[in-house]
Amino acid sequence: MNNQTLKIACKLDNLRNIREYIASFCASKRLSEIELNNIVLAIDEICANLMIHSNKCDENKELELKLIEETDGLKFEILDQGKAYDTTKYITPDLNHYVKTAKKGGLGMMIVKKVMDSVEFSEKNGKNICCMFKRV
Amino acid sequence: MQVNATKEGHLIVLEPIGELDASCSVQMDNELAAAIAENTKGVAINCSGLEYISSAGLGVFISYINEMEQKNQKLVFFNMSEKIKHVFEMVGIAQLVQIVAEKNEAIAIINE
Repeated sequence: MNNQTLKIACKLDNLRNIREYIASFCASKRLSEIELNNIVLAIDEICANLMIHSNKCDENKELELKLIEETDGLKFEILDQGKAYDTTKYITPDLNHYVKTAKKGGLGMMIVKKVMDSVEFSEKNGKNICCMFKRV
Repeated sequence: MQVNATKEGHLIVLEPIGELDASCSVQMDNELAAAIAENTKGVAINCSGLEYISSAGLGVFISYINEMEQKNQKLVFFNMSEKIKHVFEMVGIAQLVQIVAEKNEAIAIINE
């Protein structure tokens, strides 16, 4: 099984590098263009959220991505040491409300939940862990 | 990412080229705000060079829908790849904006 780890600074310009890395990791699964884009997008959304909200784009802080190939799918773990994401605060966004209030952010988690088969947040040894699984 | 803006008669065509993610959504926001401020009949987004979009990019378009409606301006997307269209549909924005195949259709809708 193919497992990889990437450590990358909390800098938004690095999102492109993360996307390229995820796409190359997923290549062996022979996904359609849309399936691949969905996975890359979901990881991008989590990483952007962690960089902006948990780590305030502090380039001295890192995200650690662990990509694990399993027989029935792909597992993605993203670790950071910023402020933990409070999952209890997540409410499925009402798009009409977004339109009325001209709200810009907050749609990322909706994408992640739609794309991934499971999304879990936990904490271990002072690190926040976001663990996602996609059946492929 | 690069955004080209062209005034064509009663509308403005914006052409984002590259990947529209959280690192450059402010740039798209500024270009769209400037286009809306021109008080034309609408803005057509040429998506032929748009390789990728994340929620940060989608959020830019959603946040101006209301203002554009109030100003009687239309927002129409054209030349959108299936990959990008799928993201619009997944988030539910495809029902809030108009997506057409070609530029002449977008122009016709805006000039209606």
